[in-house]
Amino acid sequence: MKTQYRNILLFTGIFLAGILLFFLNVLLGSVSIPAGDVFNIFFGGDVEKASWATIIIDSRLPMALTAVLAGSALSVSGLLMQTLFRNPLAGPSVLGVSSGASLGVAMVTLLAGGVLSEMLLINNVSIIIAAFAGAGGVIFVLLFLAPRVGNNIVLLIIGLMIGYAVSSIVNVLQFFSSDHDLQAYILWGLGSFSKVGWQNMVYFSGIVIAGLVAAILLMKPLNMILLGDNYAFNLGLNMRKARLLVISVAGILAAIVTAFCGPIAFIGIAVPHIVRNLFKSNNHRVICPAVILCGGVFALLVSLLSRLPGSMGALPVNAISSLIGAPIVVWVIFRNRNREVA
Amino acid sequence: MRKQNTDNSRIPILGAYHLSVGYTQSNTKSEVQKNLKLKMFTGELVCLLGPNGAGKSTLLRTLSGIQPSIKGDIKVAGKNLDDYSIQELAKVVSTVLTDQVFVDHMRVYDLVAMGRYPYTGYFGRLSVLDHEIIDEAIALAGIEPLKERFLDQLSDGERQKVMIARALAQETPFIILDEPMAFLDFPSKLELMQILRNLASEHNKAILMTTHDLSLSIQSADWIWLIGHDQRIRRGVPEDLVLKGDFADFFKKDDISFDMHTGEFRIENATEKRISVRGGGLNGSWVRKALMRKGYTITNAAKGKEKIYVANKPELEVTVKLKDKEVTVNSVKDLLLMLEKEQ
Repeated sequence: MKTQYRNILLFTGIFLAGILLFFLNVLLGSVSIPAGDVFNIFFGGDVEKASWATIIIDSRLPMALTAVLAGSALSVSGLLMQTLFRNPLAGPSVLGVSSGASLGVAMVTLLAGGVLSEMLLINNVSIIIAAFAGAGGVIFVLLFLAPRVGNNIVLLIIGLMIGYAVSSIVNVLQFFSSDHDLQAYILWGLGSFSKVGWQNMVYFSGIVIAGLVAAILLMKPLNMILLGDNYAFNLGLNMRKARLLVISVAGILAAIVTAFCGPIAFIGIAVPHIVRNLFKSNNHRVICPAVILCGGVFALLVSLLSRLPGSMGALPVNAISSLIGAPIVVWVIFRNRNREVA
Repeated sequence: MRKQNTDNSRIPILGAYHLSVGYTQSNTKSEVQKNLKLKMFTGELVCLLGPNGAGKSTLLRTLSGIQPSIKGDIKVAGKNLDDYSIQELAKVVSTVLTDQVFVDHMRVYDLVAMGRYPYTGYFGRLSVLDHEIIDEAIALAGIEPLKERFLDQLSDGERQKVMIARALAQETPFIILDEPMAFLDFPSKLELMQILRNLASEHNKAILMTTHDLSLSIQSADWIWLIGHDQRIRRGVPEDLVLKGDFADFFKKDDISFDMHTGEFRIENATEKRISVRGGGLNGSWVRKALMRKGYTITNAAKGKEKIYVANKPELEVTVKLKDKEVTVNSVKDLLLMLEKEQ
């Protein structure tokens, strides 16, 4: 079949682009290391400076890996929510999961920060735990409410309202906190792929991969959900159960990434749109794997662009992802609108 | 499709006894229809008619298992509806609903293919046989040229046929359709009705549909079920319902009357204007229609005494007797103008 051939070609092309971006991510950074030396670091050879090996192996490699996993996780989370809510603007941040994570982090850095920072207890681990707890709290509330509200739109609105309420609480907390604590909170909010490192990679990659596998297992129900509750039921889908599963998987994927990398905007919304347009399909048997692949590649691109200033340091990931993602979302919406008119 | 092809015996597909349908909201039950007794066999096309708000959709949703009944038993294919699992039910009843399906980037073929989901494995992989059944469903619904089109490139009528193909791919003996002809133009309505009629007669499906199109229902349905507010359900063969005056009775309104000859409703412009017309044939009947629209009550008259005579010819030739002369006109427009001037 022609479409099948085209899909395989697209997959291969994007995969190769991903490999290239992965190597560029390892190659480029604030410290310039010649390509030859990078090659030698991996394949055993003489390296000019010993510190270079540390930079490549312990910093850039886990960072690139984190970018791939985070990009895939956020994109799949966005896809699940767009399908469940049948709304093109749904994404990981929409259900209030990111806001929940923000609240958790704000609690630790802003509220407890004044006391705890004196005792040097504020570190990455406590931020991660707080973010995960906050995101988990919101997922828990949503899971509690999901079977009780009849339809998805109501749930979407509840998610949005949770998001607004939580943001307001964070604003209040900010008002009462010291400059020093505020800085810690804002830093987390800028987003970064560098906080996972090898020490947390097992947990991070383990949960992300489990979530991605779960999403793959949900491909058939997701297709049915596209047709709406009644048609899904008529095709034999237990909608309540399916909804719980989809929210759990989407929520956990968003939560784990937000906890480790901060709130990274627009990847989750933009990538599913890019994939649907590229593959001209809404069949999850095609787009679910494609979103996993493209999400990782997209995040690698974002990560690379964030390090464009070279020796001057890195730009915040959240800013770059929004700068690329927002125009893409606008473009996609315009494109679809024009097609309907035509 | 192939299953039912070989065996054309009638099997009871639906039985409902003392059925009440409606909504339960915070412990208060509002019954829209109560004490219904329903029966349906395979190979039958049943049209459910009734005014808006009489509970047609509620009844269909209840029979297809989307919402629970308030009281009573529903038997589908010999088994209680409540005893089916969701997956089992998907192989017995398929639905075409009023829910609009707008999915970007979805091809017609892929949508019809979803009808196979109750039969496929965990990942929804389609076998060669599945593809055959999908093609067959697409052919039956008459949408082969649309196969590779995207859903958002279809007209309302085409989309409706796609949803019917999806239901056919589900290979259920029982198909329930909620107002499948709404929003369709007249030729599409006829085409759709023909498809449904064919599915019942040739493929032994049991088809239950709601519609507001009375004359098409009378022409095509094996049975008509009439439901209304505060009225008992009336079931019967269309012609019986016409002759017993059930239709006239059922949709009774002051200025609307049911014409037993044509099986259509007519707006009644009751006035004192009487006019005698002689002459039959096709021309005669259309001239009468025009006069009735203008508010005349048509009477018969003996030969030579009539006001208007329609010649029994292929082309239209109408003779009108005015006060002092006779005028012959060749169009309904001129006839009406003439009568208007005379007054």
